[in-house]
Amino acid sequence: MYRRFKIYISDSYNPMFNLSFEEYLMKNSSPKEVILFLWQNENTIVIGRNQNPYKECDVKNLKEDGVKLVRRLSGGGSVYHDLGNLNFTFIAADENHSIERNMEVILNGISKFGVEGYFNGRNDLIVGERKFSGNAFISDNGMNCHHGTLLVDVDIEKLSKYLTVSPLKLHSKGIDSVTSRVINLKELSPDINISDLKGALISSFNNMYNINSEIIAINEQVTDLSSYLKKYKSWEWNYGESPDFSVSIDKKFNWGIIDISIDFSDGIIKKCKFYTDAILLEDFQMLEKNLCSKQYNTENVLYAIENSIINKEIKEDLFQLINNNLPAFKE
Amino acid sequence: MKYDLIIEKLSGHDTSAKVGKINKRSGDPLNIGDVIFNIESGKGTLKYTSKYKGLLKELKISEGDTINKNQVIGEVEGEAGTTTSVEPEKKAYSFGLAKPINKSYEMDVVIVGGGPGGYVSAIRAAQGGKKVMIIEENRLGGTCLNHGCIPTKALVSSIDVLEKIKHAESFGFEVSNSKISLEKIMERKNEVVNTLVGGIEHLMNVHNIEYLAGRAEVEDSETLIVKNKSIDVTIKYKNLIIATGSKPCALPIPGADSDDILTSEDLLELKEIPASLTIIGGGVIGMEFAFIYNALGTKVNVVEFFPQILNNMDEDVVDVLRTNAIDKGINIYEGAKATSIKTALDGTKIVEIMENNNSKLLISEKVAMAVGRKANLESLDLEKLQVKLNEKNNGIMVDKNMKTSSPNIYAIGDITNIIQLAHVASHQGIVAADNILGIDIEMNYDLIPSAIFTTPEIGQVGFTEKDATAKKIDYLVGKFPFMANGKAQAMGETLGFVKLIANKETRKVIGGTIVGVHGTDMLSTISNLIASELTIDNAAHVIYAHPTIAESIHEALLNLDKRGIHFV
Repeated sequence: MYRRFKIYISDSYNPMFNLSFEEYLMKNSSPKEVILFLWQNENTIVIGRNQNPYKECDVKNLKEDGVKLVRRLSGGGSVYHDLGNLNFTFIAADENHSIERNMEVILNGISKFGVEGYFNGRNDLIVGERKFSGNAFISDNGMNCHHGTLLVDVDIEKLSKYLTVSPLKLHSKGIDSVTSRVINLKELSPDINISDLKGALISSFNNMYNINSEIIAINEQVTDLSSYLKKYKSWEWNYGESPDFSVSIDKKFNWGIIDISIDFSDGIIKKCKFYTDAILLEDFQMLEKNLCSKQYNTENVLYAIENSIINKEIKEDLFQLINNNLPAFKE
Repeated sequence: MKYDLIIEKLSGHDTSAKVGKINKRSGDPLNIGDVIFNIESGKGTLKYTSKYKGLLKELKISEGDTINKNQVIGEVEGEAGTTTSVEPEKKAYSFGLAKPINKSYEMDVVIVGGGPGGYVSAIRAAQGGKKVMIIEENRLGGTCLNHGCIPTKALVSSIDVLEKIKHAESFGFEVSNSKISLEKIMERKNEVVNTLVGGIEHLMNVHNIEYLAGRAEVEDSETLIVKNKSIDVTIKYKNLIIATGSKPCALPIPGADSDDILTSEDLLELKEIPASLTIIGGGVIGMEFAFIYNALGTKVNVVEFFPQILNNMDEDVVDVLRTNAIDKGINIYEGAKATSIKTALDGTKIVEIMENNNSKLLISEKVAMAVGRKANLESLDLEKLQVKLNEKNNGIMVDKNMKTSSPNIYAIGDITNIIQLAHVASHQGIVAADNILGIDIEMNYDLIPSAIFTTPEIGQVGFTEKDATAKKIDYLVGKFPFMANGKAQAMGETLGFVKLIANKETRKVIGGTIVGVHGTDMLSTISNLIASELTIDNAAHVIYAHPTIAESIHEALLNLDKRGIHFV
């Protein structure tokens, strides 16, 4: 069988760019190609295809610390990436696709550092009971993508901080993340570093197929992925593509207690209710009406409040309350 | 037109998955290729795309729901499009197989072999609260599921469709052309097998049975090890069940060891329909394949050493089958001994047979050997386990509780070489597991049914007429031909009959054979008649629904006393 082997290495640490490139490869590679793609993201939460960012992490926390959030195409739970993490992606058509073989490439690669890891048969590569690599799979139109993380020297403290489930009262039927005990490869082999690991994975891939692959460096300056980037940068994809969910928020202000519940579907406010004991005469029903069926974004929330509520303090408080709990920021 | 939306494909061998993000709702317009929703399981994500252009009338699922393969999840009103890029089936990869290295286990019950004996005993032992592990080196399901009962039945079902097409005219249809695609037939067969293997994996999961992929080796009489590229596991067990099965055997004749002699497993994997095929062995496996390949257009020869194909069956039963086989163009050589297999210069196979002391030559493109199966006695170091063989040295010796000569070691299924049938193995598995659980039950081989999927099919249980004669039992025979059954006439399936044997003295039914349509499915009724020890008189008082093929059993019961209504 004639096959072409390619290795891509991304110089960009931008998750939107790297995920764009991965999707581009899946859509545009020939069935004869077998591809290994190595990439890293800076300070990023990557959520699963069918997850809800508001549920998986404290979005406000991310915003304050400048952590990026992006939805990937594969399923599973949320992960935290920093420059102590190396991501790998294998792309191949059905006839060339073998998860076991891919795992072997990775395991042979890390064995050069004296680390003997194992595939637990599900989604993880582990040492003992602790996981150093989480994997997920996509198949679409005869092409397969198998990607995973490799924890080399990840800031575990930040990892647990950002992946702490949000305090929001949120109901959704998507996919929940599963917490697992993780380990950095550095802990097992102090000499390991990202650049050597990349080298080891490349030679392991070449050895597996007994070839000498072409290595191609990519970066945002030379590789134009604007049509894909648009999606990965959008609120509609990263937030709006969550399975339907409902949120309730309550808070006590000087003017009274307010209890808001909102149902979201495809990033649109399907239903909302404001309950309050405020004695001020404000038309909360009008606010409900003005928000209903609107795309959820800062402008629409501001506009609805502006056109329904008269009291300045209540206006300000309501906007802050909604925006702090459900930030609708864009990249 | 209205179309059902069906879950046709999931990742890997998955039989169920979760509904992720839903992108289209009831009432939405649809185009071909539109993503309706996302499917997610541990084995990957998939998009469920529309094959239709029109309107999504109804979507019956919600986000977070569990969906199963072949489930109908909605309805579309519109037109089916020609999808230019059909999604090729994802290559099967075996998940849940690898386990971390250097692990050690202590189990109550360890079963080596994941066939119909092994996996059934695993479930039963787990139901009793035991910590159970099953070790399988190939795929769960064993021979039955992967290379035997199930794949042949999938092929037989394809052949049934073909037969219907061939006879369509008699039902009032003109079918101008039909084309056979062996590739698609085999694909369908593989799909059936994969679904069922996935089902067993699921059952193992549900019962918390530890499933280890690999070849078990005996370390000492209490310890097994499984060692391969990815795992190195030590298992201590309190009880061991050996269920390592059997494999096809060959005749010790010149040329039989040649690589191109097909086994039953090979016959399930052919890529092209052979022009001609000589099958050595006219038993169950040989005859099933003879009819399958004959229907596909292969010129088939069957060579049977015994005086009769399916030698254990009564003559009148075999007559029905033989006549039909000959009508279809299958050449049958009974009482004929294959003496050598040679290969001509052009690759054609030449089988030399001795029939009535005359040497004859049969020439065919392929030769298959279907002369029985031998127990996989070399699969484990039985000496180390102190497990003894039976008198003939062709199987593991077991008592009625399925215990071997070694304490706490049991053997079940083909490895015991008692009766090599899947349902016997399963029942032996239940007996072994129950004994481990402290329930004292014995295996009883008196009422083992057999099901043969020839054209027509045959179901047999209890005494044949031959058995009754051999055992010198004074017996009655009651027969009823399907020719005289209304439903069979309507279906155009009038070949064959129901035949019951009763003890003349006790007037109890002691055996039965059905050769003909639905014969194997109706057999259990006769099993129940025998097992509940009903007399002819009691049994005949049951009302059988009209119009059904099963009425023939009632008529055969009446005919035991020559009191049949629709046939004299």
